[in-house]
Amino acid sequence: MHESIYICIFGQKKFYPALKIIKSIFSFYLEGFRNMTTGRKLWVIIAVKLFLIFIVLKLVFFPDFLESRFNNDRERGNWVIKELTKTN
Amino acid sequence: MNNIDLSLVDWSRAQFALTAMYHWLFVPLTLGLSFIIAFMETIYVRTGNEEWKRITKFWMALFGINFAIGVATGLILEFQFGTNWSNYSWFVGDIFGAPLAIEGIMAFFMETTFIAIMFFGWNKVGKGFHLLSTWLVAIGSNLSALWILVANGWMQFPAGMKFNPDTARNEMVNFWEVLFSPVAINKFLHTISSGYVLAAIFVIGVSSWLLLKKRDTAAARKSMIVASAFGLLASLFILMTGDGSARAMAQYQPMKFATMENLYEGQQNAPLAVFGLLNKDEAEPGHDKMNILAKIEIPDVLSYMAFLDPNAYVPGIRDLVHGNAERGIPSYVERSESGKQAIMALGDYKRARAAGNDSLAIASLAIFESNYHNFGYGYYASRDVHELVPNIPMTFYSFRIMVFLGIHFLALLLVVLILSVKDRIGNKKVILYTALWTIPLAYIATMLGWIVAEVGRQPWVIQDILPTIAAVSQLKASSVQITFWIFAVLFTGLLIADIGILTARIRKGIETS
Repeated sequence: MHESIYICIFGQKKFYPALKIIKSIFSFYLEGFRNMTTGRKLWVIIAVKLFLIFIVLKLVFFPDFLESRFNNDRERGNWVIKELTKTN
Repeated sequence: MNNIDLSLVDWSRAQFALTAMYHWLFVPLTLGLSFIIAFMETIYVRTGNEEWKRITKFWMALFGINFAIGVATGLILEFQFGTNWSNYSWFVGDIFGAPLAIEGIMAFFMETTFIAIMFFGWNKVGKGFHLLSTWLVAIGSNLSALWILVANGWMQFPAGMKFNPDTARNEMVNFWEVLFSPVAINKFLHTISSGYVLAAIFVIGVSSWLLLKKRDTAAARKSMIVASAFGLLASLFILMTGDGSARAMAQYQPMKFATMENLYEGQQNAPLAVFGLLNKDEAEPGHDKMNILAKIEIPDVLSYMAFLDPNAYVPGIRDLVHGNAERGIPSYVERSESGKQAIMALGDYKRARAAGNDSLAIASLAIFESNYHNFGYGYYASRDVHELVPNIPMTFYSFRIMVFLGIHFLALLLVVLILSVKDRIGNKKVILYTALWTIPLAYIATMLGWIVAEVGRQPWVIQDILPTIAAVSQLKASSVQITFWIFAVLFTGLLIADIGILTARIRKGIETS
């Protein structure tokens, strides 16, 4: 089925079957990562940073205050109005 | 709001400020350097000169390092909205949602496609397509900044929205009013052009180091020509956008304007204090009055700056706090009473709705809507209204130092451009050292700009509508302190890594690119 899907990419006048395009995009990224020098160190930093941000910080230290305390938007809205209309 | 834990508010603010400032260390270089690289690659494609390709790849590598270390640091700000500022986050949800969603989608497509082609695509895609990708990265990253700054602009001048008292959320009624608000547009243009100047200073500073080391001298000089020409145009543009920002501030955030200028008594033909030393006047209530010692003033300029009219009346801090009936300016006490009515009417409306009392609900809603513009002042009805005056010395000095640094950058970029074009920059050691040491000054200047913008609008999270004391989540201050120090360590580590990897790459020089 994929053989019937043809796409023109990167402005080139050749038309490629869809599967071949996916393979070439994959090898484009793979080759790019393989040829990196400074980039490898950077990817390690990015990976560690994303782990710290999304796993450690988000899950442990930064739960969404309203999401974690209330079941639906109505309850959340009522809580905020209660907070905003406190008179003392 | 009398029993609010102020240390919680202060720590939450400090944490947000710390995160935003560290995040901003990476952003302006990305914004500006992407365009400088695009210009360099354009020269390469047009001339076919391989040296321009090496130059482009060298600066692209530095761009990549800065981008990789900085990416996702802004996400932490969004975590803080949900955890530390939940009232605010809920209150603005629908307004903030649209710009941030557009930003997320744009950043995702840009980062996954065009940046990959920019770095991995040399000799794999056509020169023209590679160049197009580089330009799209530059345009995309700047458009990405647009949406964040539009969201910030809305907080400074809330427009195009209507508050829904049933959901407690502001809802967007006019997208174009949000996007094209005068504050948002000036903020966007002023902020991105400051990023362009910072990037230009970075390029000429690093090039100066190469020239001082007598390395890659021809390539360093060529880099300087592109960067200084670009930076010079951006500096001139900053003058225009700064002028626009000041006018928008005078109109929509008069207290910030008065504080920035330390204008206590409003006046016609108001002079601009070029510089001076502030001295607190202890006799005045709230200590809002600061005398300026040893000042240098230019007559009428402040009035002109604010309203394009040298005779215009510029309201001072005293007018805004105590009111000025002659000029039609209500006092903060009056606005606080009006705000208190809005807050109480909102509570009455909710209770009436819950009880099925429609007539009371309608009457309460009418009171709420007619006082909503003063909603945030209501939290100060039983507090000291002088809390509504921002930190004067911080705003006053930050603005002046930023302007002086801006003038220094303009002069330096002009001198570097002339000397580079004439090929006489290589032996001008004083200029080269000045350019090198101006790199940190460019970062300081851009931070000072944010201090003026953000400290100057305190205590408002949303101008006139929501102050920090009402926006903060009811957490323990100690838990915010812990995460503050975690961020301080994490970001400092990232900054050290950034500087370390950048300097290691710079030491390799341009010819190795």
